[in-house]
Amino acid sequence: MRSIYSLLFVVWIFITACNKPEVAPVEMVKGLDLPDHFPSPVYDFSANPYKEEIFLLGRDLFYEPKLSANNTIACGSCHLQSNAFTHHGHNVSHGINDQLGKRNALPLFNLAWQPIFFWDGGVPNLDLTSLNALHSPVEMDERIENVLIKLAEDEKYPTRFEEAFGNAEITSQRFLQALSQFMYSMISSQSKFDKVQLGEASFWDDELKGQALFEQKCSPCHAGVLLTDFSFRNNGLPINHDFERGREEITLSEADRGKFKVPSLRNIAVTGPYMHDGRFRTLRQVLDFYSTGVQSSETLDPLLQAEDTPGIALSEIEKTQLIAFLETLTDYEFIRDKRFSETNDDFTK
Amino acid sequence: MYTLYKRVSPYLVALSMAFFFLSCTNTDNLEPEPNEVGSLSIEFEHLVGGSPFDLDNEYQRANGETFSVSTLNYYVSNIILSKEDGSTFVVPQEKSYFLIRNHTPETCLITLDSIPADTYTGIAFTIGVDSLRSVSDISKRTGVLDPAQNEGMYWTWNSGYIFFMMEGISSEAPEDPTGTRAFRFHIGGFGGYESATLNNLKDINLSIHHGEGAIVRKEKQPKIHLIVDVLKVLDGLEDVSLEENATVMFNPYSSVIAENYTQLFTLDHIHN
Ligand code: HEC
Ligand code: HEC
Repeated sequence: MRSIYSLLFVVWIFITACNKPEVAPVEMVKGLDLPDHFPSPVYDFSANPYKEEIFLLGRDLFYEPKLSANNTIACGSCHLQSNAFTHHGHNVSHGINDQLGKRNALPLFNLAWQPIFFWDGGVPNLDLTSLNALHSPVEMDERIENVLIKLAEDEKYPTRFEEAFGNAEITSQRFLQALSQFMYSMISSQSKFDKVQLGEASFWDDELKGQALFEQKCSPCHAGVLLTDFSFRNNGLPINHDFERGREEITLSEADRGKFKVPSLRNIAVTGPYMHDGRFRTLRQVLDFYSTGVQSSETLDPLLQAEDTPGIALSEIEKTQLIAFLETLTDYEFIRDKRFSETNDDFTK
Repeated sequence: MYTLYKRVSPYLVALSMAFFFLSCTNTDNLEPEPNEVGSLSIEFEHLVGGSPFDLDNEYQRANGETFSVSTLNYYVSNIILSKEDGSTFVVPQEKSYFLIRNHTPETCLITLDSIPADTYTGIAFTIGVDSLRSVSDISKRTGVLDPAQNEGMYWTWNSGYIFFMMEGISSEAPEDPTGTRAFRFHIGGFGGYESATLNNLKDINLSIHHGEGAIVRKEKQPKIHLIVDVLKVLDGLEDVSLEENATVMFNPYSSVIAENYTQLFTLDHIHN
């Protein structure tokens, strides 16, 4: 009988040893400052562990115009740091030869917490996101095989790949992992909103009222400390379905018509214009839309149908208060962090 | 001495005959040795109806439409070999992904190695890339699964491989802005990552109807000869009108073409 217990004990040790720890072990995300008040990231760092040289290579690639067909457009051309890495002032992004895409560029931050990418959720893994921009005929119109050749013929990249990976071989895997590493390092967690959460600052009157309104009316979707629940929902924007179907383009299910990924509202004051097609220039216009512009349809989110008229009832004062709160979400340290800048002469490791 | 020889010789004859037969069975490999492995190849011969298939050559279909093909690529994966008694050998996953490209003849003959010596009478495979690989980590996407090495058999906007690609010209296809009458079939869809969607993964099961199976031995590499009738893409279980369906990519109609391509393959014969 005793031996059965000891056997069970050994089995238990095995099972518990195999269980993955809840939080990624510290050494795997060494070099990264994971905020204490954030949940565990979803990115698998163990498959692409942080290394300074890989990060630096990723940054060079992010700002490298050779990634586009005619060597004019870099990732950084559409994802600008001063705007939390979105394309400010353009409703739908302008790509190569000034062609217009149908979607507004998304800001880039906290990507290690994001389970699914793009407005329609077409890409499930950060490592595969760069392929999308690269191959899109209205963005960079280039093919990864050509990019790898251009990089191998470049004077600096073979050495940079060698520093990062131990030899100068330039493969798609290394290329994509370096870009991911730069992108997953872009962590935005130093806004006033964060400091209030950590007890390091406090909200003013309007901000406080705005926060209460936000929690009541917006948090079900723009949820938690990341300010999104990453679900796909239809928030009632009138759209032309011949041209744009949102999530349905991926799932081919009519139940997903007009649904888009709920965007994080971090840094929202600097990431306009707003919505998947960039139709609103200001936050005031966004709130006017939520209060009077929401259109009912088969797939309109039930949360926006709770009142007599679809949408979220808001007075003008409440809108002002909400905007005061939304402005506390801007992380000025992030948008000025030299580690992420194209010109970073004064950045030393 | 003579008598001794006379008395022993019948035994000697018997003994040497026994040796002879034993060595015969050895060269014929009727009984594989334990742990003996060998290799086996599979040839994909493309035809149109009964005639040879050439890229850019014009063919006519039953409904009168004419067409020529400029690209014909497809993934073959997860190969399983079966024996007469119904047992199977599953080719290890990491060695089981192939991209057949008609314009590159080497890719139409694939070789599997480390196959247990045995006699195989059937073969099964998937057209496409199974869902597990379709969502796998970038580090596992090597060889033909590397998006940089698979000639565009990958959708970047909707992460997933294109399983089957056939492009060409048909005088019945609508004219595009550049003045060409092209048709394009890009068929994929592994069932969706987060929510279920199109699944165009198709399993093909073939077995020999007569003659001997493929005898795999250390010294012998048999070849399974498959015939792939390209015409069945259009005239398979359902007729696909090129006039009405010149562009079929990630949309529900793609499953009609996927059903059709299950009809493409026949196991014609085996070379031992
Ligand atoms: C021409 C402008 C343009 C360029 C150049 C560009 N992007 Fe984007 N990016 C966009 C647009 C537009 C979207 C949103 C598209 C959509 O969701 O359909 C986007 C979305 C993304 C996303 C998804 C973010 C999220 O929250 O889901 C990532 C990651 C990304 N881009 C990375 C890159 C990288 C890396 C490069 C360079 C290889 C790059 N982009 C180049 C315009 C661009
Ligand atoms: C039912 C879920 C839901 C609720 C409730 C909701 N939103 Fe949204 N919100 C969304 C979705 C989905 C989008 C993206 C829609 C699109 O682009 O098509 C979005 C987009 C936005 C955007 C634009 C973001 C960007 O990066 O372009 C802002 C700003 C915004 N919402 C603010 C709010 C505020 C403030 C509230 C509360 C008054 C609120 N939302 C309530 C789901 C919701």
